[in-house]
Amino acid sequence: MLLLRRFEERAGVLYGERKIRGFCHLYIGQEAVAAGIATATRKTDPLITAYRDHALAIAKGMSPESCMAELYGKATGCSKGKGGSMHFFSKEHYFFGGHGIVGAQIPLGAGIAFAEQYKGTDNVCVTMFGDGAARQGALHETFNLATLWKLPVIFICENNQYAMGTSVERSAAENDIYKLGLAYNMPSFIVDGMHCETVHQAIYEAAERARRGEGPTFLEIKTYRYVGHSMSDPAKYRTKEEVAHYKTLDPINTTEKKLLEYGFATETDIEAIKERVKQRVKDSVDFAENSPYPDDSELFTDVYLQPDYPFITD
Amino acid sequence: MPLADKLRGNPKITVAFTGEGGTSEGDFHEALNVASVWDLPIIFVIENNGYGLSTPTREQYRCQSLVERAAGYGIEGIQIDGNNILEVYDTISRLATELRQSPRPVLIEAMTFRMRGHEEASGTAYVPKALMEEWAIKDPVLNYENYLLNEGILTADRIDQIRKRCKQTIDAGLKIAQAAPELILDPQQEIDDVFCPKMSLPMVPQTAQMSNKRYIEAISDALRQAMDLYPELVLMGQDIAEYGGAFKITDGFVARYGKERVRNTPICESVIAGIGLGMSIKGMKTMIEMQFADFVTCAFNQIVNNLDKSHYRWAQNADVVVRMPTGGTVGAGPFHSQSNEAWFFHTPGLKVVYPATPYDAKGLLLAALADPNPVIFFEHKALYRSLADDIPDEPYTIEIGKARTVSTGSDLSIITYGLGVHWATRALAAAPHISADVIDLRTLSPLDTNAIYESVRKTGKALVLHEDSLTGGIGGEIAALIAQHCFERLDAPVVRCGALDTPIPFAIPLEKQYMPEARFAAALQELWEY
Ligand SMILES: Cc1ncc(C[n+]2csc(CCOP(=O)(O)OP(=O)(O)O)c2C)c(N)n1
Ligand SMILES: Cc1ncc(C[n+]2csc(CCOP(=O)(O)OP(=O)(O)O)c2C)c(N)n1
Ligand SMILES: [Mg+2]
Repeated sequence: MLLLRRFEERAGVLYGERKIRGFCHLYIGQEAVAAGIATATRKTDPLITAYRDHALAIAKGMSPESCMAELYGKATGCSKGKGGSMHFFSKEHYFFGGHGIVGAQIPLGAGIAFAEQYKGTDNVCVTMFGDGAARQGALHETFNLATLWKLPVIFICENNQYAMGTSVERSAAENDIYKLGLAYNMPSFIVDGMHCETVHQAIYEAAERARRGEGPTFLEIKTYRYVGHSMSDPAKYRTKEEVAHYKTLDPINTTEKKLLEYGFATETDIEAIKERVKQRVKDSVDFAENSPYPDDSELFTDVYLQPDYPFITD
Repeated sequence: MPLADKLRGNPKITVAFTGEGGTSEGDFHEALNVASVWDLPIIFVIENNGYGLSTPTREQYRCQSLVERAAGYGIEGIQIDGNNILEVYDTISRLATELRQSPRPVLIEAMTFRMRGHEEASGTAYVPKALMEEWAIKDPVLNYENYLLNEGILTADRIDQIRKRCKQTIDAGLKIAQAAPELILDPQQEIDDVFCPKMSLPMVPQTAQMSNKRYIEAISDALRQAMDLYPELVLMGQDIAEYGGAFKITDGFVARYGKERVRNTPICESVIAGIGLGMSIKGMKTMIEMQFADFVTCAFNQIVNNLDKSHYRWAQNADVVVRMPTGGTVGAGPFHSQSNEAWFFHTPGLKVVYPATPYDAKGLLLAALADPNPVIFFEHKALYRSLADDIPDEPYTIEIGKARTVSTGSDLSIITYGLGVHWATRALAAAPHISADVIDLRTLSPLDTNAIYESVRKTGKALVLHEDSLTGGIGGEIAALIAQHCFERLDAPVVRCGALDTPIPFAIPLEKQYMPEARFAAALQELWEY
């Protein structure tokens, strides 16, 4: 969690310095969700999410170096510099993006789950989206098919209570998003997303259900982003008190306290972790800074899975 | 439609029907959600007849009954026997009264069955015989007839009379249909039916007062003035209210016009576009803001199947402007930089407008809002804050369908729009030996072909430039038109210059190479030398 937090803080600073261009949607405040998913699922369980993807990619095992380089638009980035902040991707790490069109990744998650089911693996596809995305028609079509075909998928709505400036109360009459799942006869629960243990437990149970062939689960994970929607959003639509309240629930502080309290770690251990994380983030920035931009010859690569592109040339 | 009634205080309710098969579409979810969050007086009726074409309900959804869906939206869901006319009548009339008092949506699932094929060519071979027999007993006409007989309300004679009268009515209708002459296609009539011809008068500024405004402010200006001009105009879009829109174009609008007319929408482009047509049916105007033009894909079905064809089909105009912050060169990556005007250019029934200057942006947006037809209005994001002009303070319109000659010359014609206008101007400034016409199309549909032909016939050479990727782009159509209509005056092949046929890369150096500006100067020089 600490690595995710520090990485994001650094990305935010670099964005301010215009080292990172385009968009930058930070995950700060929501780390317990990524942590719980990482510990409760297997390395081979695919994960797919929207544009707020840096932390989830790292939680899935992608190197901070390849992620930072992607933010810089460098050739060594996880999408070769062609995707940027919103479009991370790494097949080797079972991380399937990184998607900029709100809601469009939800059907893809069901497709990945269908492939797992068809191939007879017991992998479970973690399919994530925001509270705003839950209003897209794609969600409905996917929920319907996933329950009908009992696909091994965990749908996760990271309810950070805002879709840009629009709060949940303004985007739906029914504020309990998990109830949408009930309408499909899908096991659906609310989960406290500020504690990695509760997230872990809920995900673990959902994954087991899917592995047993009992189909999808829908988890509405209540979380909070401390920062604006993206770097260009001062988030004037929220009160200081609201943000302050959530900061007292900070998942990283809570976890640190617990580790010390139960003797899982000493102050020295924690200091060492902090030092290691600091160094890792620094390394990732150095790596990105020193990497080259993609070569112009990269323009036509990867458009198709065949070498003779472009089809029409002068 | 219920939104229009609600805004105008009409105590009306809307009834919207779908088959159970149709409920698997995403629009069903979006419509129920928006209707519930906006408390719209609407009854959604699902006629559940057991099959979507040949697909039985058990292969369509897993829940027990479709009214369960209602819980997800916090609305009431009622299942009724759709074959019992009295139950249908009682339920709907009770709800109609309630909804007129306190507007809200309700979901009805009327259980029924279709005794024939999906349509008359396909038969019912896939329906088990027992099921047919089960439902034959529940026939709504027969049962109601028996009920009325039992209650002593009707007699056998009276039933006979009614049946005869029905037959006579149908026979009479049939006769009229059979006697009607074969349709003879009149191409002009066909074309005339595509757009609503009721155009309003052009607006000219009443005073000579001008202010220096950026492209983005010109757009805000036009919207604000249109809000004052048309009380029936409603703005809809994601985060456009208090937040002021992703680009702050509607900043301050809520304070002035209220939340009813400056409507934040959930993230559901499709149903919002559909609501645009519904509002138009009720005589309202809407402006729909796509947060980025890229997201219009989610509304594609509504725009290219409903908004565009309603006038041709039933003389119902779609008084909707869809604003599209478009284009690249801003390092925004593959899903926030695209140019997709060609999709709409290809679709009859839509007008496509694409201003390149603040002056045109304001005048054309006011013209688009005045136009009763659906207009797809492209605004280039890179121009928003980089370009300023003195423009009239007062409202004014620029005729849709008229190009602008940016500069005149004799060697060749550059035909372009959007960012291309600025690329062309820049390239010519760097190549003073070349004397060229620069034509800014401003409107892509309808296309100002006369302006194109006039210029090309004069110079004898044409270079078509656009930001969109080359293949299947608008440049192809323009080149074909020039080849056909200016052939004898051409001194060189028509040249097109567009972006590469790839997605738009994120890395700035790659995006630079992707864009046609990287190749434009060379193309210009080559054509000049030809
Ligand atoms: C189809 C589509 N519509 C609109 C947008 C613009 N947009 C990007 S993020 C966003 C808000 C999404 O909110 P939510 O799903 O709650 O995710 P969060 O940002 O809170 O993680 C919007 C409206 C988009 N990217 N795609
Ligand atoms: C978007 C779309 N997909 C598919 C079709 C083809 N189609 C027409 S009707 C139909 C079945 C619809 O079933 P239902 O909604 O239950 O209505 P019913 O015919 O039973 O009244 C299908 C698949 C279509 N017209 N439009
Ligand atoms: Mg959110």
